Amino acid sequence: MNAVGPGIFARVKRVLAYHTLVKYLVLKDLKVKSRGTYLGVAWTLLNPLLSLLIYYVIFRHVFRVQIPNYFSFFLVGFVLWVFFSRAITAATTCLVENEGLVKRAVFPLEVLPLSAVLYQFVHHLIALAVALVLMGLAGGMRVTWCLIGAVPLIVTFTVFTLALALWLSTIGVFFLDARDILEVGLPILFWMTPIFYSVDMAPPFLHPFVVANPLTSFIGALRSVLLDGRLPTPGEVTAVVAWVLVALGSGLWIFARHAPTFSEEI
Amino acid sequence: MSPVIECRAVCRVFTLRHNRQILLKDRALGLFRPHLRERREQFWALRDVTLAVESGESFAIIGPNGAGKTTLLRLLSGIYQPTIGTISVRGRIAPLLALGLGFQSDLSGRENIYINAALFGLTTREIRSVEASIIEFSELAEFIDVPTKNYSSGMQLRLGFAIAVHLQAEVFLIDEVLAVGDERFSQKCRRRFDEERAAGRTFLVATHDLGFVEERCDRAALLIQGRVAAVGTAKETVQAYRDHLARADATPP
Repeated sequence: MNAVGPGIFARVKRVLAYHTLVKYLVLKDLKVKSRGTYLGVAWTLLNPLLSLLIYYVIFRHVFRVQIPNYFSFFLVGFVLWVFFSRAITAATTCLVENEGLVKRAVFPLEVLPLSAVLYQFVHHLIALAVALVLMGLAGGMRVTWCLIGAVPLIVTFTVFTLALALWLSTIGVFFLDARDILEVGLPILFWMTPIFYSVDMAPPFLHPFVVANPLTSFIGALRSVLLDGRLPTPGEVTAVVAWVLVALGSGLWIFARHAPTFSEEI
Repeated sequence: MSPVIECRAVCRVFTLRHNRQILLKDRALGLFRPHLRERREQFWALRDVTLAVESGESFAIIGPNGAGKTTLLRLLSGIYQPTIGTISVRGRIAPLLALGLGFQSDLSGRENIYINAALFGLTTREIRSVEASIIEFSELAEFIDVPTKNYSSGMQLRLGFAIAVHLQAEVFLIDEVLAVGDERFSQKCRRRFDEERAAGRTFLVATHDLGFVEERCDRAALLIQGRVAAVGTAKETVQAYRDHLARADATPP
């Protein structure tokens, strides 16, 4: 019963062979959940946009945060956060929600968290485009060739999110309250991530946690490309790459280890 | 020639969990309250099953409910792993454990063809090449762009069956989905089954339809409480099953 399926690389190859299925599952969600309309996608953007404005008013005008180009500063972090939190929340329940497929169809189950993340990624791309326009209007964005650096960073962050999605979808099979626990944990993580503040503003007792938070590295690197017009330092690149490698390796491993038992555990 | 499907001394044990602790919260509480802790019991769904199905054969698995037929098909499909023993299946498999898997009621029949066929590993190009033929077989041409929530259950099964028969597989593992729809359509399904057999495909079929087994299967195995009680030609095995049922009726527990 603890049989470990084929090796991790063989599994990844099988997932890639099922790219057609991934495509149709993402399209299905776009058609069903977003009603296949641009307005449907707009609705999913409206909610974060509204909270963004509320947070902005509170932090800028009530707490009077003194960060230059504050709007663009937190927009970068906020866009990444909305994608990250939505993707891992959806991934936590994706296997349980597709019980019929897990028990009766034969395909690499990694496809399910992968398509849950990619569905959110489609929205993320639109959100990023809107964010770029807003940053252009609000000021603070440096238009230099360094902007190209944003592309690999966004791809890397998506892979990191996918890795956590593999972890959480596995946990979600064994504990049905994983999603409830996540919904409590995410706000804590949100405030421990320098989205509305900068790392050096964190009080001493929080500082080590904020620095150790992987999201800090990704947001920091993206800010330096978009707002400071400089490429990430070798230190920042190393941190980002290390997080992705550790998360993806362990995520693929934990999923492969438990996938053979999903069909009976669900 | 070696068999296409082979099971060697396969056992499958399930752990039945009473008071299953599916919530992390309960597991934490269980540390303090022993009566809340989960109890586990072993259930042997299959014991020492050894079978070999040759290429081009149609082989039936028969037996009462709960005998392990579906478990055996899931093992052969790779959805479950055997606890003990080994399984090998050669060639491209079409595991038909249910029809119309992944159907999304808000999407049209045509869109669902693509999702369902992709679940079997087909690429867009492969699906496109059989799409017209699937629609024709299902006889749903005029409804194909209507959401499947507006289909009757018979129509949904017809579409599912039509996709299933267009999978270019060498080995079909079928759980009770041999003939669907009204009398005319189910005859069409049986004819299609005969054509595929004539084309040299291998079938492993779990069914309660003993008439189908006698008429259309070469050999059969009788499963009773997870054990192979009889293997032989379809007629012999069906007879063994009927004898078993008669004996069970004569001696009520």
